[in-house]
Amino acid sequence: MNHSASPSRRTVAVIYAGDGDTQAEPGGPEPGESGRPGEPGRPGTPAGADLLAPLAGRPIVEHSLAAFAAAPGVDEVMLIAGPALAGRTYHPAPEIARAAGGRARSIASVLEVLTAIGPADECDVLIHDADHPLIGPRVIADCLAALADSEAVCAAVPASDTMVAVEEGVITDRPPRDRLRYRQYPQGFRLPVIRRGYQLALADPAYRQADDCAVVLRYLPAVPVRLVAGSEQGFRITSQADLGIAETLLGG
Amino acid sequence: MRERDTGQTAAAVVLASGSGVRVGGERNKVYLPLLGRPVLAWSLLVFAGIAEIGRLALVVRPQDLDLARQVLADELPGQPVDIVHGGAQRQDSELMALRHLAPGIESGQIGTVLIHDAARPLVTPGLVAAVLAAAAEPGGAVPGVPREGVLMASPDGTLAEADLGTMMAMQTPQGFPARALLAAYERAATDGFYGTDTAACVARHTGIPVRCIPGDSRNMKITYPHDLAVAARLVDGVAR
Repeated sequence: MNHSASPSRRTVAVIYAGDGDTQAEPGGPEPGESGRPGEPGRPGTPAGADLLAPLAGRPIVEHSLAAFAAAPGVDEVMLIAGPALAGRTYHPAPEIARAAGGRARSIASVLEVLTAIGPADECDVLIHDADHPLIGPRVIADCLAALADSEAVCAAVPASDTMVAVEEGVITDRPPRDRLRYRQYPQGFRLPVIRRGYQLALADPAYRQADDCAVVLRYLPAVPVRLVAGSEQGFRITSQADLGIAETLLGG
Repeated sequence: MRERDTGQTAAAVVLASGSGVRVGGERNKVYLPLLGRPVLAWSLLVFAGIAEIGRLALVVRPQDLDLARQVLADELPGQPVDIVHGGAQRQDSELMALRHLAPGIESGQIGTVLIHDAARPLVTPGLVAAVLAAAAEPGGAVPGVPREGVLMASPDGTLAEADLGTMMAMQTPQGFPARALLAAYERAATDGFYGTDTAACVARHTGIPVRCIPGDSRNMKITYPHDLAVAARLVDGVAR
């Protein structure tokens, strides 16, 4: 679809779907550092094969594809995938960007995709992680609406537990619970903002993998990241138990 | 064995006095059925089955009193459970329970107090035993599970910190040396201090760090209506 003549902004949904390769991605934490051995540093994607596991009768990854394809205001859906996922057929079919070198999360690959999206001026991107499959239309719409007057937005929900920091087995800090949130997706950006953030991150040898809003917060501190109310269903699937919970929530 | 050697016992306090508004309706969520058994009965039965626990107290809202009595009669017949009326906030309810237990605490009969949220029905005997063992140390102990993806918001609703690293999400039961706990709560009541949880109150008033021991990811809290279905699924998974 060509929206160049339209006064309305163009919105591209970019969905990350990982690949087994991501586990060896440089820049990620050492095994165990993030609390789960082998988990990539950028919060998000388990092994590619997991994203093909069935959830309510379709692969996990297709839930996100369908949600964004159906969302009013989303003009295009792109899937960033390594080799294990890139060669497959999906319903609905996204445009597939094959991540360079099979490293779906390498920062260069992300930037390449963001660059390929085209002229930046009138474009917003919603970046989503495919392992958050229960993304609903309300959250997508709210993120899009917030982008009308914000340059960066992030879905999040209030922390439902008391959270503490622990060192050597004892509680050392308890941040104010009313200010704590659990990060969700999508995270939305004016295209020039996230492009610039990733360019700066790529040029920084000290860059460590982070989610997209963290990149903006760190490299473009003058850009406020607006928090948008996420959904209690917007959690990340990291285990069979999570998959079971998602099945339950979908009425399975 | 420590408890028995000194003739001491532990007391478990189950808090069912929260309003449970998030699950919806006037009915307190902990009386809703989980696989046919009221949510609060699940943890009460676990505590009742542990030899080291000699006192069991259930803190209820006054308007739930009949409901609570019925659950105890149906699900824990013959099991002595003290019913205590709760207060406006969690900490008030805890204080009322501790005052109820105060004679036993002051006489030294009750050495350890476990505080448990009735909305966590899937607590296991193993977790209770681990908390009991760790709670005998000064400062007490709370179970926690690691949680990633925690961020901090600014008061204006924008992102202040994108990643706080691995945080621990606290669970219950939380266990403390009984005398120190009672003293901390009486002092907090005098000072007007309200902590977000039991451990916050104890740490503030004793100055002794509280230990965090590994919790159990299945020990979920019933917060939303669909959590009942999720919990039922977890029970099935355990049973299989």
